[in-house]
Amino acid sequence: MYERDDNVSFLSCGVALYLGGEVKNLDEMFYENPAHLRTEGIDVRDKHDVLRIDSDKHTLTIQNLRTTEVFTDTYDKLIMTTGSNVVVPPVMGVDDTRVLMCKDARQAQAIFDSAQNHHHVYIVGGGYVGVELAEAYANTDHAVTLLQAHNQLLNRYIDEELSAQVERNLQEHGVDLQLNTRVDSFESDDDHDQVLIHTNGADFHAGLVIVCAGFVPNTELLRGQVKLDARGAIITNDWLETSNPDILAAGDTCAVRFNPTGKLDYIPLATNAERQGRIAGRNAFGHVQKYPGTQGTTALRLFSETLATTGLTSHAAAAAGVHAASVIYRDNYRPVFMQPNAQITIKLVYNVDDHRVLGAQLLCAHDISQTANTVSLAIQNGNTIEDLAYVDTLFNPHYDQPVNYLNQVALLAVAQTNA
Amino acid sequence: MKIVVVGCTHAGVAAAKAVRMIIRRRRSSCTSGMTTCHFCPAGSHCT
Repeated sequence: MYERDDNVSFLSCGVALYLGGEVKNLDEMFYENPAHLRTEGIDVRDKHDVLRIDSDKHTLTIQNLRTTEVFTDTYDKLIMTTGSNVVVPPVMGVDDTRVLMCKDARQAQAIFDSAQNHHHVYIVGGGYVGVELAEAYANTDHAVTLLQAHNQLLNRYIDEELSAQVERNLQEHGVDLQLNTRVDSFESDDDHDQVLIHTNGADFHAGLVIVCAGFVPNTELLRGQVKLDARGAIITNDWLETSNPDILAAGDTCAVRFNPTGKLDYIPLATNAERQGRIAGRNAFGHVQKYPGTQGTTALRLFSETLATTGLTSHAAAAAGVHAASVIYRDNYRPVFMQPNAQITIKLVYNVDDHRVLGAQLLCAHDISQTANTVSLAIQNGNTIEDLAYVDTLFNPHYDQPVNYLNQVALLAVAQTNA
Repeated sequence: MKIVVVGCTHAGVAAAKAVRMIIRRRRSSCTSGMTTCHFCPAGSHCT
C-alpha cells in the first residue's frame, strides 16, 4: 500500500471536535498507523508518492520521498483509494496566507494555531464542514461570521423548513449568518494583517478565513485511463471495478450509486469510503460482494440538537425529475408527562407514483440519529410509506409515544396520498 | 497475485485489511492457529 504522506486514515470529519476543544489531541483523529498495519501483514510504504500509473503495462512509477529514489512496481490488481481534495474556489486572493482550507491534519493544525490569535473567525461555505466549524468556534467564545452563497444552509442535505431551524439555532448562539453572500475575491491588507473579503454584498475585514467549499475527487493518476464522470470521479460498476477490470476504486475517488434516484452521484462520506474499501478489497479476488449503493445518510450535532438526514430532499428530487411529495411531522418525541421533553421535526420525502420512501430529515434535541439509519434501510430496500407507517416499532415512554414518530410521519404521508 | 492499494485513506485501509483477511482465509498452508495476523510471527512474509 502506497501513501505519500507519513500518516494514514485521518478522520477529517472530527476536525471540528478538535478545533472546538472537545478532542484535545489531533493525533486521536488517526485511527490507524503504518506500524500497526504492518503487524497485520500489510506492506505499507508511507512517504512514497505514486507519480504515474500505466494501466496497459500494469506498472506504477513511485518516488520514495525519504530518499528521492524513483522506481517501478507492478500489480495484478490495483485498488485506487486516493481520496479527495478540498475545492479551492477560483477567486483572486484565495492563496492569501490568512485564507485556510479545512480537510487534512496539517490544515486542521494551521486553523487551530491561527484561531488562537484571532477572536473573529470568518467561514466561507455553509455545508456540513462550515456549519460544524461555526458551532465549534461559537462554543469557544469566538465571534463567527458564516458566509453562504446559497439562500439556506446545508442545502445538499435539508430543505428550507429544517434549515430555518438550524439557522435560528446558530443565530441564537451568536453566529452572524450571511446567506446569499457569494465571495468574489480576497484582497490582502498586509498593513493591518488582514484580508478583505469582497462579496456580492458587503465586504468583510478578516484576520482568519476558513474556506469550506466542498471536495473534489483526487483522480489525476488515472485520467485518460479509466472512465470518469463530469466531476472527475471514477465510475465503477457494482463490483467497484473501473472501466479497466484490473483497477478497482473506492471512497472519495469514486462516484457512487445514489439509491433514491438510481443514478451516479458524488457523495464523499467516510461511511461510503469504509464500506466501499471493504468490498473493493474482497472483489480484488473476483466478484465476491456487490456494492449496494448509498443513501448519503449522515448526522450532525449542532449545540444540543441532532440533525440526521438520509436520501433525497424535496429540492434534490425536483432537480432530478423525481415525482416526489413530502410531509412534515412535529410533536414531542415522547409523552408530555416525561420531562425533559423535546419537539421532533421530521420531513419525509416519498415518490408519488409508487409510494417508495425517498428521504428523511430529522431534527430534535433528543438523539434521534439512529432513526435516519432505519429510513436509510427502508430506502435501500425499496420500502413504501405504507411499509413505514405500519412497521413494528417499540414503545416505551422513555423513548417515544405509543405510535413512534417514524410511524407517525409515514402515516401522515399515507393520509396525504389518500386525500 | 499482487494487489497494490494506492492511498491510505479510509477506503484504502479498509481495502488493505479486506485483502489480508481473504488471503488469511485462503491460505491452506497457514498453521499458525492465529485468528488474526496481528500476533503471527510470519508477519507479512506469509503472502
